[in-house]
Parts: sequence; structure tokens; C-alpha cells
Amino acid sequence: MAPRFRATVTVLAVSGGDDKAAEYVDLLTASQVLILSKAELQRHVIFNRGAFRGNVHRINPLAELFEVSAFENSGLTRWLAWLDRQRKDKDPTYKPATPPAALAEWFFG
Amino acid sequence: MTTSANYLKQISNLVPADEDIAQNRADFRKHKMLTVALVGPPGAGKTALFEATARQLKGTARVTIITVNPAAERDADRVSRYCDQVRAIKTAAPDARAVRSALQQLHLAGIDILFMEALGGIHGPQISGDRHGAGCQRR
Repeated sequence: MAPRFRATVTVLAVSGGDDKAAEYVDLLTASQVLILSKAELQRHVIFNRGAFRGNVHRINPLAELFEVSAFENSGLTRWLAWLDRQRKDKDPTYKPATPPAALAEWFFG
Repeated sequence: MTTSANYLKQISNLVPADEDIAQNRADFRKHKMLTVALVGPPGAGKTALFEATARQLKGTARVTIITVNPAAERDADRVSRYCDQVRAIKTAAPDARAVRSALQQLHLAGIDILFMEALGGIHGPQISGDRHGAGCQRR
């Protein structure tokens, strides 16, 4: 059986609440990656990060969890590295290029 | 193969969706593109995540996105400056035929990564024939 979309990535926002992973069990089960978006909001809203991560791990222990803030353009490094790995797996001749911004984030946080 | 299995195979070949599914998969394979579905409830930040991702990938990967939702054209406008090609499907849950028609309008050889952004209701079987597709039922 050939793959469908090679990867399914579920996106859930901090503003959705820390129980969101438990709400979307089927989706998370079928995903290889969970992205917790709007990560910068954790400073402003009540969000139990441990509970959220615990749910994710319980529902799909194999899923990679990346916390990303598109607003602050942070947390993208691991997600981009993951995409890069997928490209390499898909096409062994592919030579990964390190995106400059990701490199900067790696150095300077 | 048993007769009944053969029969089932023939019947399933008559279903148009299966044809679209097979052709979609053939396109993905032929052009060696990485296909990534971004799914989640409304307001989860899928479009913003894609924008940030495409901005970072600019110059290192040729990125294309198919946006799927009732206001897909608006999202398509929003992301068009960050990626090479954009197609909008105006529906809540895309089926294989809708994806097929989007693929037919794209220059497939010019895609390294194909993203599809959709609400949670995206089902694997409708896209490519996998029987264990993602659903987005609330628990």
C-alpha cells in the first residue's frame, strides 16, 4: 500500500486549551507530528503544559511534539529539521540545506 | 486470488473515487514530492504555521499548498507570497476528486513539498485509499 499524504501533522493551539489533544484522539492517533501552535500565549493564559504533553504521549507515544510560535517566529528549528529528514527519507539523493533563519535561531535562541 | 476477491477488486475499480485516489498517489510517487497534511480545528493556527514554515523554506524547497476550507480563497491569498503555487478547494472536507482537480492545475514537477491545509475532517481514504485515515471526531 503506497502512502497517502506521507505525513499527517495535527495543529492545536494553546488558546484551544490544554485538553484539546484529548478531544481529537482520532486525529492525533493518525498523526506523526503534533504542533502546539501559538506557544507564546502560554505566558498569558492558563495552560497546563504537563497535562497537555501527558495526553499527547498517552494517546500517541510515537508522535513528535513541537511547540511553535508563528507570531514570534520561534520554535521552528526542530519542525524544519523534521521536514528535512522526511525529504531525505523520501529521496536519498536530496542534499539538505540549512535554512539561514533556522541556523540563526539555533545559535541565538 | 479467489474469485470473490477478484470480484471485489473489479467492483472497487468501478468506483470513480478509487481512480482519483490511485492517480493522486501515482502523481505523488512520480514526482517524488514530500506530501504533508496540516490538519486541525478552525483557529488552530494552520495557516500561520504554514506561512512561517514557507518563509523559512524559501530558497531551499519549492513549496506548494492546497488550502481546503469554506473560505479557502482567502487563505490562499494570504499565503501566496510565500510559496510557489497555491490552489484553493472551497469545501469543508475534501475528497479525492477535489484533490485530483487541484493536482491537475499544478505544475507537479516544480514541487518539492506539497502541503495540504484542511480542517480536521480530512479523511485518509478519500485522499488516497488508506483505510486508516485521520478523522477529527471529538471525544
